[in-house]
Amino acid sequence: MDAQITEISQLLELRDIRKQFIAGDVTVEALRGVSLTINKGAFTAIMGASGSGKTTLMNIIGCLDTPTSGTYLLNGRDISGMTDDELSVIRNATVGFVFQSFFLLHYATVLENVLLPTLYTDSQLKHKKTHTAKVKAMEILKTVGLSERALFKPRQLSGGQQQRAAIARALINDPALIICDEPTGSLDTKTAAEIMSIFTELNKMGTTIIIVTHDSNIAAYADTTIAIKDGLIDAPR
Amino acid sequence: MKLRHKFLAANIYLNLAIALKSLGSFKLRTFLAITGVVLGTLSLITVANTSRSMELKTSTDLEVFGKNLLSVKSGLTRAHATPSDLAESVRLTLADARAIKDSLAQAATVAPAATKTFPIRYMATTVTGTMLMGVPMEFFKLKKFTAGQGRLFTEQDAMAKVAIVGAKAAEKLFKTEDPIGKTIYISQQITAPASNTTAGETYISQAACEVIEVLEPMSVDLAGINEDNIVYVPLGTFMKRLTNTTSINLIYVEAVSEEAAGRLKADIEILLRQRHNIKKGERDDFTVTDLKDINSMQTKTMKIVVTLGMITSCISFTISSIGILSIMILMVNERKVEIGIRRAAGAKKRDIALQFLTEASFISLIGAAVGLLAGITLSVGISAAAALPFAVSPYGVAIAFAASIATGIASGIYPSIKAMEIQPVNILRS
Repeated sequence: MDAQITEISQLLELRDIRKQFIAGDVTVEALRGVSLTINKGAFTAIMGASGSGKTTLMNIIGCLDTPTSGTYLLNGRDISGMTDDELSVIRNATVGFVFQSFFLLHYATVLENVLLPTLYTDSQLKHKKTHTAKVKAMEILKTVGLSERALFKPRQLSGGQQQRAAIARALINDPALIICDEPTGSLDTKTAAEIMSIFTELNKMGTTIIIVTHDSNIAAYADTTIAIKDGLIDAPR
Repeated sequence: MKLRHKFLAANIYLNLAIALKSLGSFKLRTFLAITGVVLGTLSLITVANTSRSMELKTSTDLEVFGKNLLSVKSGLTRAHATPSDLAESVRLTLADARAIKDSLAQAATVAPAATKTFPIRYMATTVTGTMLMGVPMEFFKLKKFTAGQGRLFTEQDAMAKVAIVGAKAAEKLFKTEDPIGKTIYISQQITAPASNTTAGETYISQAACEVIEVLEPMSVDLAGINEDNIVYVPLGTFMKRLTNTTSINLIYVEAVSEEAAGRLKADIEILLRQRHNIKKGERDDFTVTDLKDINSMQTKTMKIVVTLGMITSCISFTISSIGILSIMILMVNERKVEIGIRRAAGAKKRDIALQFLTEASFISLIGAAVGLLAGITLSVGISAAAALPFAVSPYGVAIAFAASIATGIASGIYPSIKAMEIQPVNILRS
């Protein structure tokens, strides 16, 4: 009974994850045996200096990359050996990304940007699509305070607004996990605080959030911080 | 399932909307690439439509001319003759025509005709480029011309000073006036001989003819004569009053049946060679033409035009596919981040490939649509100018669209592969 509850509440588990990159004759080991567990509903920060391996770890957790060795379980499924197509399906349904540079399509409207992940969602897996997706996108834009800007181009928005649009895009497919890579890196302190409060709100509503940063002020919003140093987990703080 | 289709349609729509916006950042290149497809489609459609028009014309001609009509022309046709051949050609005579009628049983109707260009005047208007044609009364029956408001030649008209004008000749002479009952003057400018006191001066002999009928607009006939720009007078009038010769230059012969036409053609050739004393091995000094010859000539000309059009459109499509290839490569490079973010959001490699292939085909299809409209407009113009019936060739349209989609896909393959190879982890670094 106890074990089952643990099983359900655990979102992802990494066991001895290693990642090597071959650059010419040199083999760089970006991750040298990382093991960690993140539960559903957790708000975790991954901290580390540049070159520490935190980005590689984020890519593996976000199913953008596969480990050289080790096991990665996401929602109880082993991701480590999956094909590119299978990983794409997992990313689409399970992971939402928020990046430092927002990465919005500047020639599309905010609404079109938010709808982007739904283009790759199988309608038979998800609920009724098309116009309902639009309705849902508008609802999400409302919760991030951008409903007035739905038909604007990203360039017409401020940095904070662009990041809100990116957050809305990450939320459109109800992902189990949101991964943020330095989400406030391009923003001023006040705007950064606003964005972080959105993440806090989302986390309160049950979304699992992983935030990758080198900024301890940002990491402070998280409940748990995992420090990465030289491809290994530093002592948890 | 139905929902899925609707969803897919919405996806394609959204993707295209995004693609169109990104094409906007390469306006000139996109324009040039599209222009290639436009020109390719344009030439394909124009050639296909025009050849379809020619086919239609030929089949209408067959009905109008009658499948059993032959024409005998003095001299060789230009295709086979040198200028000296033409000059030396023995003219046909009325006796030749009579001989055909009397000795060949397959010849049902024979109509000899003579042509010459004279200045023709009505009131103050003088027309010089119009041909005068002397014809017997049988001519109209054989050509299936019917009387409208006026009347055609009768037996009593053999030497009469009457004229029937073709539609274009009537327009030139009479403008908006009704020609029937009016008098036209057929003039011959004669230069006085050197011995005369008025040496070098020209004087004009004129024959007055009353217009008794105007013909409906027609086109170019079997003998290559534009029937609209002709003034017809009775053959007797032409030969005795106007030219004072015994030679004619055309004989129209109607065979008793379609099957007899082929045999009749050979028989006429034998008969005329005998009558003109042409020895074995020497060339004919006349040409017998039937509709089959006309058709094969038209087909040959059309084949050349079609081949040229096809080559033009192949070149255009090739150039445009290079153009599309170059903008698609640019687009892939410019949109690396977009590809990365789409991949992160769950796009599979094939979704990305499909997106760029769709975009390339779409560029091409826009060109095809523009080219189609331009091609149809151009073929309307050609048909109007060449007096051909207008026709749209469904094959031409189908081939043009297939070719433009093929161009789009062919030029989209390489950029799509490049796009597929882009890995999101390499792109999405903050």
